[in-house]
This record gives sequence, C-alpha cells and structure tokens, in this order.
Amino acid sequence: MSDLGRGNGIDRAREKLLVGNRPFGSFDSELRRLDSALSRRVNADPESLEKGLAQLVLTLVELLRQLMERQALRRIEGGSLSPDEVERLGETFMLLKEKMDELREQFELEEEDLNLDLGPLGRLL
Amino acid sequence: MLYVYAISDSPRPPTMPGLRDSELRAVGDRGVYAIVSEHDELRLEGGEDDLWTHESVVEEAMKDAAVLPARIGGSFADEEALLASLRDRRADFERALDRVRGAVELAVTAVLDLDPLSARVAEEPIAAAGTVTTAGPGTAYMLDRLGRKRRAERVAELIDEPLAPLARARTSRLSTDAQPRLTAAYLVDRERVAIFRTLVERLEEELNVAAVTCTGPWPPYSFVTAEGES
Repeated sequence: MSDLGRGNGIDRAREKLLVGNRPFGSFDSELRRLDSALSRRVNADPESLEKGLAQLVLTLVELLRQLMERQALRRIEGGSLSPDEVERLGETFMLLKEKMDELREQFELEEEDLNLDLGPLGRLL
Repeated sequence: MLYVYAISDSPRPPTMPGLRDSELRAVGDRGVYAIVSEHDELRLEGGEDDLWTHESVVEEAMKDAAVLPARIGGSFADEEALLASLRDRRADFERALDRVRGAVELAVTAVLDLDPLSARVAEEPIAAAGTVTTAGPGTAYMLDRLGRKRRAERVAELIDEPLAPLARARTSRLSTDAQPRLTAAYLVDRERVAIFRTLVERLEEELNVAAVTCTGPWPPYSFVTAEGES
C-alpha cells in the first residue's frame, strides 16, 4: 500500500475541513454506509439474510410512504382537500408511521438503514 | 482487470503508486484518457485506506489536468473493453471535462434545527392552516409535517442563496425526516474557493438554525454527469 493511502484517513479528513466543527460525524456515517455496502456485497452471510430481506422490503414500503406523504402535503398546500379529508389522511399517515417504526424495531433496523444508495442518482430517500 | 480512478484530458498519469502499490497508466487517445492500474485480482477493503488512495490518485491527476473522478470500485475486464467504453462515451466525457475544467467541488452539509421555537426564520403562517378547522390528531400530524418541510426549505434557501452565484453548478438534497439535513455540492472555480469558504464561515456564524460544514476541495464527484448543471 502506498504511503499516501496508509492509515491517515483522519488527517486527510481534517485537511479537507474548510468550515465547521463536526466533520467526523458526517464522514463517519458515510464511511459506515460504504463499509457495510462493500461487505454486504462480499459476504453473503446466511444469518443476516432474513434481516437483509426485511430491510429491503421495509425500504420499499418506507419509500412509498414518504412519496405518498409528500404528495398529500402538496395537496394540502394546494388547498384541494377538505378539512375532513386532511384529518383522515393525517390519521392514516400517522398510523403508517407508527407501524413502520414498530417493524423497524422488530428487525433492529435504524431509520438510516431504510435507504438505498442509487449511485449517480443519489440516495433513495 | 483494469481499475479506473478517473477520466482525464491529459495522457500523463500521476507519478505515484496506485492501489496495492500498482503502477498508474493512462489509456485512451485524443484528449480522453482513463487513469488506471492493472490487477490480477483486486478486492477493495471496506475501510478508509483504499478510499484515500483512490482520492489521492484523483487529486494528483487534477493538479494539471481536467479530471472526472470515477466512482470507487469501478473496473474493466481488459484494455479492449475500456477503450470501447471510452469510444462510446467520448462525446459525454468531452462535454463533462469542459464543464469541470478549472473547477473543484466543495461540499456543504448542514444539520438543520427544525424546532418551530428556534426556527425564527420561518414565521410565515402555513397558508392551508386557515382552511383546516378540524383540530384532530390527523390534521395536527399533517400540519406538523408541512411545517417541518417549509422550515427545512427556508433554511436550505438561506444557505444556498449567497453560495449559488459563486458556483458553476450545484446539486442539493434536503432530508426533512428524523435527521433534517441539507447535503449540497457546488462546482466552484479554483480562484473562487477562498471567497466561497468565507461566505460559508459567515453562514456558520450567523445562522442559528443550522450547523454548517464545508469540506473540500474535492474532485468533481457530483458533476461527472450533466445532472448538476444549474
């Protein structure tokens, strides 16, 4: 391994910080994501298969939930919904959110886990 | 296999070792070259070291050429496949190299405080609230979501407004969920990096509703494709 690349990530990261005082938090989470993405690709660990599948399914459900919620917000902003409709929609989304949180906890997934990196398209959520 | 670090307009590869101490070379012709290293087998470790090596090669190449950084982990089976890809996408690469020539990427991230009490920037009332009279829990939930969305958008505007005129292009993503956060990238002329940085410093001092961080200069990772054009 070259000298330039060896074990000096923290120093390099510090060099890159122009403004602010919390670089490592943000770098850390990106790196962890990359770490797990790389290792997931390499080790298809059978024990984590169930969790991985749950993660995938929940990610898709969460995507749909957020898309529908955004659409509903746009309609509220546009003023095209009656008060009753807003109330019913709100209750539905509230329950959906609660249910998602429950399921996430069951599979020991963090909110951040329900996201996909779509490469050049950015992250899913 | 050939591991790809970047597309460059210069036929001279950086004079430094690549991943696993490999030798770097440039493959291509007529102003579109891939900077690569050859490996029998290359398994990237998940950790930071490989990322920084990739990054160092790209940065070195950027010192005297226009460069499009490749995503980490990209490779081609052999030189023939790589050359075919360079031929197919030559026009795209040429356009993109023109777009980033002389510029670097600066990343701006901001952790947003969307608490209505501290978000003094967004006092305007929610227009729809007037028409919604049923004060049920569902309505309250939706209005809360709407408020968060509006406050996030307003804070993001406050950050983007002074910075955008300094950039050739920009991309941004706003997340309003559990961790409200703005993730933006700006393509900035090298000569403007210092003033950009000063403006972000001012934002960081003045904005009480966002913790702003700026990192760079980076290779133009976010501006390799045309999407980032403003």
